[in-house]
Amino acid sequence: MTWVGFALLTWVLLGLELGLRRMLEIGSTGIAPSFVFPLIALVAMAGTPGMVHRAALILGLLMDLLSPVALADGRGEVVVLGPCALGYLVAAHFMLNSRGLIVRRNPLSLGLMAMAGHAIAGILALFFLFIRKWIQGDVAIGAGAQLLAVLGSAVYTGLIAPLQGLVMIPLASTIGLQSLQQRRFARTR
Amino acid sequence: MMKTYSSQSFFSRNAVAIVAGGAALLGLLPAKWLGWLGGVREPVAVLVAPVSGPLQSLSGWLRPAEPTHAEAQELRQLREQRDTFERLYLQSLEDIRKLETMSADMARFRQANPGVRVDPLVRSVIADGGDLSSGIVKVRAGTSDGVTTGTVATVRGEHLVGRVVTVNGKTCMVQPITTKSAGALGVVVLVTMPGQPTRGLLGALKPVGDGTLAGDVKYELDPTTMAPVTPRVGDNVRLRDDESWPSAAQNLLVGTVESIAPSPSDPNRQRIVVKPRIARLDRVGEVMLLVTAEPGSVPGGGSGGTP
Repeated sequence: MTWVGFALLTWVLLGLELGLRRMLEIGSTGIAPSFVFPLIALVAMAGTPGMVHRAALILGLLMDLLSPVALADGRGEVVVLGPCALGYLVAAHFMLNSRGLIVRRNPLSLGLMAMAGHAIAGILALFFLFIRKWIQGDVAIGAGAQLLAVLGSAVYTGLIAPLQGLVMIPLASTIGLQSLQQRRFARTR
Repeated sequence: MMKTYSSQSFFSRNAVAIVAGGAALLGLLPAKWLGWLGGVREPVAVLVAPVSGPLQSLSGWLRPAEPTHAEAQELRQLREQRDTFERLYLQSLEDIRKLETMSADMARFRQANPGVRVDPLVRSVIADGGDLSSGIVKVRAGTSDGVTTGTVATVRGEHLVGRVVTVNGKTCMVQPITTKSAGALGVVVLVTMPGQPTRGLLGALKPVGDGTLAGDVKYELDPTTMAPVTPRVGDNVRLRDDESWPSAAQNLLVGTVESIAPSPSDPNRQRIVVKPRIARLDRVGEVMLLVTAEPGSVPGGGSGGTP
């Protein structure tokens, strides 16, 4: 994978994630699609294990930096590294192990992988924050509503991802994901 | 030479795990130790801003921020409270204005009638000529307020409305001077001529039934010119009837001369039609009752003064 192409795609998708979140959010529920996670799913479907883990970690750390967590009692917010980084890493590993079960060049497969992976990542991130709340007691985390938001966002991501896939799968070669490209004379793996 | 697995350092082999573990440890530190991450976040946010900024603006335009349910409810309650207080404030302003007007009217009446012992009483009209076919006006004032039969009703202590014909504990009935059954009343027409002092022509008016009063005025000659003093349209007409009306009512404004014509009964006299300044005396919203200190009730509908 070419990291320059990956960086460019990451830049665009992070901008979409931050810029369109408010418009696409369902009411005030916090349920909104992720534009970054389908990129992880795409890399997981086509990249090598090392590539997938590094991409997931980088994207997870960036999302942690850009998504500060609210502190309890309205004291502001704090950047917490770890929830998305670990969540994306575990989800990427899950997708890596599951990619043999799906048709990789199909945008619907991308949607399915993104939905499942995003749910896993979201639950893990929430779990991490609960651990932090148990240790430090400073973050404003509520169990029910946020779990619903996480799962709802995963479904929403799964619905948006196929549309993203229609654009990203043809662009896979720009970031060096050759295995998603149709080979005329080679056997498909 | 390509690096073999064994030649790779421990850190390069386990970079991902090390970084992830480090991030997890950082994520469990107290918030006060993580402030520096805000400084790391800023450059990343700036890098992404060229894409996210315009999209955020577009989002804000397409979907303006909506208040949460709790905020919307609180906002609604605040708006209702604001509307209530606005109404109370405007009502209070109106009450103050009415009280100031009432106070000014009373002061003006006392000043204009220094020898008259009356207590001006401003009260609202409960039922007017539109509700009562006889043209009688019902006022929220009764014997408990000192009102008696014959008490004079005015508008602001200046314009004569009529007098009380019946009264009970809380209310009284006022008969306007323009009702057919009100009877005649003696008046003085204040004739104003340029360069000359105002002359008063005595007369007697009777209600016509259309809101005006008509009657003949006395024939007088100007002592300097020996010409007849004739009223003019617009001249004020005031009450001058000591026999039928109490002293508090004397010189109250009855109306203005609307038309003049030779009297059919006496060609030497002028017949005038007087129209009250208030278009419908039976439709006033409130009246000032001149409650006298001593019982000064005069039989209603008494004959007016003769010219």
